[in-house]
Amino acid sequence: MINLEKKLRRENNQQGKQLTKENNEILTDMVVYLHSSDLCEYDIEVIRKELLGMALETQLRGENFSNVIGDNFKVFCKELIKNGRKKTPYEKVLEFLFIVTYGVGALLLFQIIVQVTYGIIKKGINSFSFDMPITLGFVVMAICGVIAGYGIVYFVSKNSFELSNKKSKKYKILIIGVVEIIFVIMVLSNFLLRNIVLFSMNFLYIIIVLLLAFIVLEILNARHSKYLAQTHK
Amino acid sequence: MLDKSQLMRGTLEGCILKIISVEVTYGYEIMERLISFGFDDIREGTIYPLLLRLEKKNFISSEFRASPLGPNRKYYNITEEGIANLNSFEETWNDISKAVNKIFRRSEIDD
Repeated sequence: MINLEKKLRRENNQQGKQLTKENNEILTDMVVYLHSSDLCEYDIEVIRKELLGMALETQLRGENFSNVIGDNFKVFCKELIKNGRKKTPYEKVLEFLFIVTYGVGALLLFQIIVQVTYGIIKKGINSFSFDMPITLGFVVMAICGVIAGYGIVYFVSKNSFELSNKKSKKYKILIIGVVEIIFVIMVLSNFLLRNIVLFSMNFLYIIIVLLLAFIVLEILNARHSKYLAQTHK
Repeated sequence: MLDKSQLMRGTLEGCILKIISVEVTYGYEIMERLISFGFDDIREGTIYPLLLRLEKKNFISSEFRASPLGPNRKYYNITEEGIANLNSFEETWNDISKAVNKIFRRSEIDD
């Protein structure tokens, strides 16, 4: 099943290549900012398509994009957020499941690779085992990782205009600092709490469950974007 | 100093609905119509959030069509609910403008 939201995003990316550097920067900041809002994800791509159209037409007319939408892009985005269609509870649940599945999934795969490599190096290939202990350290790392990942993405999108301002280094330094601290906390908790084993599992089962979760989520997402696309011909 | 945008809010929605009720049209053309009727400060960016709002309320529907000038344009069409809302707006507007005009004419006579 084709995910129409992804298809629209690809089309927009393609069309965005025709923008001037200045207009491209403005539009990128705006779209990133819109992603920090409660606006429906599919609608953000539709809005992006329309803004791209407006920007390209102003280029053809030899005007500035700011003549069309005003000088305060953040205020304009706030108007769009106020008047656009909000995410439904179903969309919010779907988004939450996506973040958790992809976040935890990525960390689990990382953990499996580290554990298998470490086991082989330390005990040799003959000691290879599919058994994977889930430690308290891993659980703490996964919770920190997912919350921090979501928080950082939210912070970056909420401050997209400030971050793209070349004069403002404050936000960039803050993000780098926070990312480093979180990374240290994650690594330390995984290492220090490695001996508290909550349960053990064959990691092949974990991979199968993760793959199934990814497939189900992709199908649900594609189905929902098709439903949304019917309201935007 | 009077905040013109406060006064225009709500009024513009009705005017946009009226323009769309006459013929299927797109954002830039709506803006040009509004300017031709005397809304001098209007920009495409002013009306775009209002179009989003009208669409969310199901007063208008839209579809992308090919444009002779580059990218596809979004064309807007009024819905049944939009027509009902437009009639209600027109009625309310007539009552308000009548009352406001009366007050101002009366004030001029009193002066």
